[in-house]
Amino acid sequence: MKDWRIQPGIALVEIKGIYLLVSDQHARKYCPYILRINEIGAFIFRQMEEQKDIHEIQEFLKKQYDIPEDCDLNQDISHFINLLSDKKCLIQEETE
Amino acid sequence: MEKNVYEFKAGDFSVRYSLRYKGTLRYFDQYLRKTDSLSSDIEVSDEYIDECNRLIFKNENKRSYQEFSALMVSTGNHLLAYQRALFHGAALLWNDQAWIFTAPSGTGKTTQLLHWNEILKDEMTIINGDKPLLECRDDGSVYVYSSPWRGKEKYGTPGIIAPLAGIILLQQGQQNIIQRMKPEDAVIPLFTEFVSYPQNTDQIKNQADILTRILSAVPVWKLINRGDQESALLTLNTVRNSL
Repeated sequence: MKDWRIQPGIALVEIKGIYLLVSDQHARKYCPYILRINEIGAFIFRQMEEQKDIHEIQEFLKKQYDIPEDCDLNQDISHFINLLSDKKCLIQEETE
Repeated sequence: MEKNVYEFKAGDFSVRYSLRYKGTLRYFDQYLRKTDSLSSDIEVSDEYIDECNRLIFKNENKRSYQEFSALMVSTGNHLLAYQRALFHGAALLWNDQAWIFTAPSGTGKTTQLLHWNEILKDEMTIINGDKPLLECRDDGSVYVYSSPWRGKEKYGTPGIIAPLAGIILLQQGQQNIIQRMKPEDAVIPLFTEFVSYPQNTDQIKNQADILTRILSAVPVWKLINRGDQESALLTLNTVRNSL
């Protein structure tokens, strides 16, 4: 199973409805200075900051956006996580 | 060893510097004055100077100029905690208000500044040609000051303080078009023009807060332009109509 943690030195900021992941001088060695994400991406990122796992994030997302219970969001969340991982904003770790 | 501490004042706010290299002081011209204080807000290490030079200013040879430039970055970071920022742009005073042209280097900020100067003559004064200091006040207004970092032409006038009235984002093009930007469209282009190299996430959040205040306070226009005087006239007429 893969686990992940947020690259130290990345901040999520919101300016006039625009969500950005911004890297400090340490994180910039690995990540883009600025990465724009959408509102749902920002919501997921905040859950990740609170170290929620993918199942918890799914539950929170459904509640927040009134998504039907039987809807499976795992693939969408995984896609977002993989995108951040590709940009080195997340550090993936193999766990048992 | 006795430290030489110098002070830069922008209104009632000041930043104290301890300089490492003797020759650095001359780049500050009249913007720094010696103080009796023994403590400074900003002092850059040789390692920091090397890092800034390697990552940001790739073509500087003189160590004193490298220090001057590293102090600019460090000042930009320092100011963020005080609702202030160094911003990459050319600022001018006209009609008792400040206007800023901003764009990545080499896009024509100085050209626009000079065209405005040709048109307005004594009616305008250059506040700072490259890195004005912005101050967000509690009442929601933003004020502009000159700073020691004025670009290679060294355009700037110490002591001028003016409320910011608008920002013009420049883009080179084949024709002259000006349009008011939605604040959300201006976020990324303006965020990248802050003079900062955030050392931690608090500085990033402060920078975001300052940009939010700026975008709430003043309009931003995008000027696609050929770099001719006609583009300056177009801009001038547009902002005049907005007053």
